[in-house]
Amino acid sequence: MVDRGAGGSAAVEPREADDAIAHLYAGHWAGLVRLAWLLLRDDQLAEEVTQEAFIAVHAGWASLRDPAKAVAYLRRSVVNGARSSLRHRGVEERWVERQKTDRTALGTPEPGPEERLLALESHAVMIDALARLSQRQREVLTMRYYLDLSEAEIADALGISAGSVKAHAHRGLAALRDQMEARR
Amino acid sequence: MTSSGRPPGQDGQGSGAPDPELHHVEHRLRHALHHEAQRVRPSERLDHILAAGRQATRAEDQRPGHRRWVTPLAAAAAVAAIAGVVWGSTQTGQDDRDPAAAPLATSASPSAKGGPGATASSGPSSAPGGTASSAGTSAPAARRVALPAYFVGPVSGDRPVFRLFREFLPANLPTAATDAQKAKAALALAMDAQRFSNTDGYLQPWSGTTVGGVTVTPRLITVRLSGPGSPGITDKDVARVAVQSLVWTAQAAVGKGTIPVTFTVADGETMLFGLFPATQKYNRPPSTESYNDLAPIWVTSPGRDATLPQGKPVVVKGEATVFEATVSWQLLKGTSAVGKGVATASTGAPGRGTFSFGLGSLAPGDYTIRVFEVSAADGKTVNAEKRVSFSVR
Repeated sequence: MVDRGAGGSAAVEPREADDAIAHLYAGHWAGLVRLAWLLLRDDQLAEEVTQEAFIAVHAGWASLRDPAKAVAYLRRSVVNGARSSLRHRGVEERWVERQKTDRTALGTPEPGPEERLLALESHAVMIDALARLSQRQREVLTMRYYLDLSEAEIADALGISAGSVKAHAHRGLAALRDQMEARR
Repeated sequence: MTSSGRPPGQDGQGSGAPDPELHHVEHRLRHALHHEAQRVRPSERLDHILAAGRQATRAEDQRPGHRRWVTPLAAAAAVAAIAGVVWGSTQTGQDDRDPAAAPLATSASPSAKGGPGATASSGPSSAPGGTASSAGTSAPAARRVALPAYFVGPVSGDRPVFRLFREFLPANLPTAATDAQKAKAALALAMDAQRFSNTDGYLQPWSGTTVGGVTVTPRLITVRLSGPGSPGITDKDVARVAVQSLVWTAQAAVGKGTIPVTFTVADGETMLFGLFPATQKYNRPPSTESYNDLAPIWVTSPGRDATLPQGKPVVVKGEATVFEATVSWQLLKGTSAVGKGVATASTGAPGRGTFSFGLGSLAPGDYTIRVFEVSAADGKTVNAEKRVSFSVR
């Protein structure tokens, strides 16, 4: 199936990598962009970070060739990429600010059933609170409660021990609880 | 409510907190994250990922020694660097990557991350529809891409001055399209202004003219035209801008900076519009003088006739060369204004700045955003204006 051509290069056939990436893309693109977005709060950056992770997997497919490993690698790249974007572009400082403007700028949402508004308000409060946690706590909680990853998976993605994941998760949740209580 | 079906807090993997209050926080956090995440509508980027991945693979292949697996960050950085070399066209300060991230994969959006040029953007919000519709299939022989095309349009209703507006338009290109093929396709789009003449008042200086072919070398882009341009164009400044529309378009499509552009005309004509020598070398002006060519105000996001998801804040972005970096805006629903404000661009005239302002979450409906500059001299005349229609559903 692999036509190596006269050059005799040991590279995998490009189509194999294309197919593998297309498959990973179908299963994980949207979820990973959303993960990046939860960490970055920036549409364009979230896509760029995720896109780069996919491109790197494509370029390195010859040595990877394992979908399960690739998914873990993608996750790691997205979290690392998001962190490095935050560091380099000062996105973090604007994070909370943007939340505010997004919600208070012209045009309020269509009035809906009261419960819906309450739910929206509650989500907004929670997301605002999340923004005030340390970056590591935010990463751990987002991976835990958005991606539903296990402690081991989070530890692998972040390059920290499972014990640290547990500690970050617990402290993060406690801090969220305190913030919720402070608002009452 | 877990997407994986793993019950919260019962797998020994959660917070491990027996504290019922923390359990409540977990529950709320999970809901909030999922709710927030659902507002994100990632745009399609598979085509670009495949193209860039192949390019990166080739670059690795050409290195001495053999390819090896690199660390995530290094790999991403390497890719960004490669993409930057291939596509960067920032010598004029003009970034021709598709800022509206139309619901197409963009061939001209390599995301050279972190660069100062990476300003205007919109990303997922402007891409309606789901994700991964084309995934699971192998790479197609032709792919749909968005190409930059520059059109000659009026800078405002109050002034008969014509400058360039950029649009990103869909085109089908072979998977491994050459620079020349990209340029030819983009030029064909730019020369067909009829579709925008009613809505945007774009002129049709190249009506009746076609592109015979394009040759691209590192030093020169040669465009072969079937004719010298529409005889209806007699104003010298309009003719100049019409020629520049092809220069900007060809350079943007090639994406390798300010390679001079020259023309040949099939019927033996030596002058374009009877006014400009075809074989002269044309180029974009330096960024400090881009106002000679570009319309003072562009709206780059939302994209033309974009459909935006309800419940997600709408952000308007654009570029402007305006006095004291100030633009005014109005949000129109039908003919009535439902919002207004001012925004500040990143730099004032003669520089070209970027601007961005939020409209908040809008109720479903059809809208037009109007961004304009009022003359400082009389406070009335509209010096420059651009309108873009979009819908919220």
